[in-house]
Amino acid sequence: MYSENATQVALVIALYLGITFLFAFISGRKTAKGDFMEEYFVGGRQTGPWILGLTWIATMASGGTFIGVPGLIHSYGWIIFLWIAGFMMVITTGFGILGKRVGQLGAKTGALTFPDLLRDRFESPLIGILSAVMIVLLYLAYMVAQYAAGARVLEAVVGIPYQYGVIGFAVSVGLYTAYGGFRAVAWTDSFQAVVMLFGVMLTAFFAVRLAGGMDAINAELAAQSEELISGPGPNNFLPLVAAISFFILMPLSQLGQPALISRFLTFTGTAALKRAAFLTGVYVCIMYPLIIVVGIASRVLTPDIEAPDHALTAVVMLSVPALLAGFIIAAPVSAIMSSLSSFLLVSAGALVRDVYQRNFNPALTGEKAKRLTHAMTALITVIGVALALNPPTYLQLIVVFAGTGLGATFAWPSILAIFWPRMNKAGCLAGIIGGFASFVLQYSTMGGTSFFGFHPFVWSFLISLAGCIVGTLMTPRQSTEHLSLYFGRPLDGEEDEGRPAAEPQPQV
Amino acid sequence: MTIDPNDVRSREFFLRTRKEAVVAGAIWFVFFLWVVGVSYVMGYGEVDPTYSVMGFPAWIFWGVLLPFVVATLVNCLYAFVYLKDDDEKL
Repeated sequence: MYSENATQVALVIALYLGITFLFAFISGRKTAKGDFMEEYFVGGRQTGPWILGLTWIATMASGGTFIGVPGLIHSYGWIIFLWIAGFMMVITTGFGILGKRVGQLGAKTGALTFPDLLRDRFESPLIGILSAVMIVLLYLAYMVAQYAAGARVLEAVVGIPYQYGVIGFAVSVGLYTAYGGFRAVAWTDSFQAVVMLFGVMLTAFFAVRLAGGMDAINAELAAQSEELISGPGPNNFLPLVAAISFFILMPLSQLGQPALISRFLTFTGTAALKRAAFLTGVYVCIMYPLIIVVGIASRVLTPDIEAPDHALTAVVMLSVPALLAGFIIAAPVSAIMSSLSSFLLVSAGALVRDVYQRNFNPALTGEKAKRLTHAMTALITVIGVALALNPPTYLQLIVVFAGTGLGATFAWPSILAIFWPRMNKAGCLAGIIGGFASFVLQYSTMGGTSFFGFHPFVWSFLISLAGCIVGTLMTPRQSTEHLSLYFGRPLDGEEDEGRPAAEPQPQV
Repeated sequence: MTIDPNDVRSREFFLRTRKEAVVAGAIWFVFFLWVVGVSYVMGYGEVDPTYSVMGFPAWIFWGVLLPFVVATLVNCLYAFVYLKDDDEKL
């Protein structure tokens, strides 16, 4: 344990949790009015720019960002900044490629979830179910990593045994997510995003000050090992092919994240989206470099720690005045809870809506829907806890596996679904299955490094693309009637792509 | 879902967002070249530990931090100047 003021910190964290629940309760009450499904999953499509931007970043920045990245920096030094550099492009690519289009199509088709979008676009219940199942599986992995991260923070700072920490996180987040749905998630996310940002700013300030300034830190790092201040870093962490892989992977994998894509179903209009893109971009630019600085300082201030993932909490407890430390520890706790709530919402939604309601009971509504959603939220939580009770070592690597797995599976099907009229059900299936299967196969046989040194994501990304294209071109195009809903009709003088199908496709 | 047979506006919207997407991709590519290129050339192998800018190792500053800031500015321009307001009323 690193904290002498464990009680003080614990009280502050309890206060923070109280505020979080308050936000959830107040926003959740609005969810109680109106159509349950629409309110629960997309907040009635009334999300404005600030909330949209903040919930986006809060969901994207998870325990991996706050606990895992400093842990990696502690071990490998400055090269980690290059490793995550792709995030500088994540807002432009995410909002620019998907944002507007998904929002418009969602409003037009009434889509409430990400699988909704694909299922309706391709007229395929199978795709709806398949993507729902993959979402649940991959987000479970992601959630386990978050529970582990949160429990480790509490363990390091307040001395709560790991198991209780896992259960504590799971239960708190499960409760407010189940209670208030998307609104509660978005509002708590926004509060948590503010906490995250201030937390990291304060920590960077105090840590660098204690260590004697950046130049002193760099000199000390160089003295420890020249590899910490150069590429590819200790143990050849990031050779050039890896640097290339991750600049592709970091932003583009976000394009396949169902929890992020579904946020684009919730905003009021393009003006809100643009403002959100601006806000989130600025936020990302402040936060990530500061996290790097914190990690670097931790290597100098606390060179000997039990586990790499303790780096952040160790440096906070050491350098930040006791009273503030509790507030700052709330930052990684926030990152974890905000991501957890979003994953839980999307996973429960996948089971309730994408598997059950749309295929077996379209009349599901009101009280029954609510109870089923609560039950599924509880179920997923319980499974996640059971899995988390065996803690993993490098948190960020699990996050990368789950995150890139989702990206490899869904990025191309999503992009092509909304921009390529010719794309059809077979192509989507091929893209999803090809991406997912090739990813799991590479990871289980070769770990994080695949052919020619590239990360498995790069190959799966390409295989998924190939699947989409080949699957589509080998099978007939969808009906023009259906496609015109998404793409309109060709303008005068413009050539239409392909020919319309001779007859409607059989339902699968 | 009702289908409007004369959905010309839908078509325009689709074409415009597609172009915006391509531009976003192009922006990504430019920064990819900058970041990976400069970091690799300046930062891989032997690095002078005393060569730093604003507290960051020089290769980090020119190869990661500065592009990060510029990318954020480009993002603002992209969002406010380039993206068009397209709102389809139901």
